[in-house]
Amino acid sequence: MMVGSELVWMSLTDVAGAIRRREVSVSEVVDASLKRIETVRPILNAFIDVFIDVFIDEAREAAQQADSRLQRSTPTAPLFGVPLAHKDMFSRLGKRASGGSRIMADVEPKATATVMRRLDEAGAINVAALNLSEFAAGPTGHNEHFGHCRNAWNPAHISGGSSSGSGAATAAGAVYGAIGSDTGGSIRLPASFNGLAGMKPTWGRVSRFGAMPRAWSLDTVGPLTRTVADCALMTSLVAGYDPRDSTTSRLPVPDYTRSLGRSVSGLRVGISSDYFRDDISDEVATLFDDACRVLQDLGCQVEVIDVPDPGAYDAIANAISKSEAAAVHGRWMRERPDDYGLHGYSRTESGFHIPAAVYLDALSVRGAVVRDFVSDVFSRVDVLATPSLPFEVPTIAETDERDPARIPAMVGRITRNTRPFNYLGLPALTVPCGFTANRLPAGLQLIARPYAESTLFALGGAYERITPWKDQHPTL
Amino acid sequence: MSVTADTILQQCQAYAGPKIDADRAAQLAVEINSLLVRATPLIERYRYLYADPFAFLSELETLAVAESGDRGQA
Repeated sequence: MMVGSELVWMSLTDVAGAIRRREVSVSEVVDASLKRIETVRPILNAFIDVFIDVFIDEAREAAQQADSRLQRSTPTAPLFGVPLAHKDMFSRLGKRASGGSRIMADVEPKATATVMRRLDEAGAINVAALNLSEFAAGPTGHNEHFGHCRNAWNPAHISGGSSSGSGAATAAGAVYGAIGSDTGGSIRLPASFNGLAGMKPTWGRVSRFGAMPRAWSLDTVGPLTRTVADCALMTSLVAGYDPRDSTTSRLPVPDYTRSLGRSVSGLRVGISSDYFRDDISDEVATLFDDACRVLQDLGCQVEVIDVPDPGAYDAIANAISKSEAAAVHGRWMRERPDDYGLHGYSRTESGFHIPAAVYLDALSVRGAVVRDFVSDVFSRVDVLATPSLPFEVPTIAETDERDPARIPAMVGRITRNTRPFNYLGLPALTVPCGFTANRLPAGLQLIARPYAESTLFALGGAYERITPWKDQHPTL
Repeated sequence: MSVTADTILQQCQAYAGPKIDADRAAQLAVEINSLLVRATPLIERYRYLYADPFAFLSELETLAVAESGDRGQA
């Protein structure tokens, strides 16, 4: 019999296998998860506490039912009995999602989000609702309503956002994986800051039906997990065409777990000598260079390439994001301004005044821009590699900016390496690549052409196998 | 193209937008104009290509399919 501390640090893939082989019961796994949640909850602010009792009761009941089924037959559902929790912005019939706000609690869900339905069908058990930046707006995890979410490796530091609870709860061993959303880095940043794998899939690869929108032209939905294999499995389960989301692709979804273990020898990896090295700290530069040497050890051809100006993509993505967010929030911001926190409100205000012609121009040129980027960059390399964040993970105090005029610059520093790829719609995977001197994780971001998630899982998985990072856990 | 604080204030009044004061309008003008300065050269480079602003999905799919030899595809 495994004890709770052993259980909570198993990977999602391993615990699912252990349940299937009846080495552990679903109730034991769920109880260990709930116990871990109780331990880390007051430290991390990773959970939406107002719903916690409902989730606990439902999770225990679901675990008992799963164990009854387990006695009768061997389950085939790939996540049978595995405790997960998700960014609290995916609707479920009969259960209101907070969106990290005071306002969404008044919105009655009209349907269950497709990603939630697909994970339910895969047998997962939902054990909590996870904190997020208010309305998924903000890369730090600050939340004035539910408490600032804290980093699992050092609670004085930010968890990253906006999928802040997804990062902190998964890294803390409270759940085996979590779904987040990414409009400018909101999966990759909390994954990187907490030492996790995080996949922002190609725009259109995963349904957003039932997700709270931030900016529909940029929003993507994907997993944060402790291993690349877990990330590949969860992505395989949630990806694919959804008739209720007209922006999902009909291209077939590969079984991404099959790409794990594939040789990456000969894969061409590009690194940028300018934009993505600008303002990089010495420590992160060293970790990134070390990671590139590991890629070379794997047989990859790592070469320095020029990358078309990502700074312009960053700006144009911001123009789209703010314009669309203003459309989403217009009525609430007029009628309920006092129900917004400073960051959520101030980061949306400018969207009301960006000229509509600029917004439409930004969307109109997007296809040609990504065509040229792919033709230029991915004719020379298979994968582009960058640091996920070019400096050490900052503290909560350092990023608790109270002057609205200074918030865009603070946010821009954090999202400069991630947001450009939301405009381009490209898939991007972050994997842990070591620790800075303050014992906070650093992330390696890998980007590929549209729908080449398999390439990223193959490379990220190979990198993970010969580095020690996934086996290190925070002490909480 | 640029916006002014006066325009922002007038827009808020004319369209019953979220309330702001003159100081905040000035801050927003700086924020927006900074974005416009950085985004406009890219837009201008592609301006005269006719494109459907809502056809991005098919562009991504075309780029994926065009790369049939991608060693990354399962």
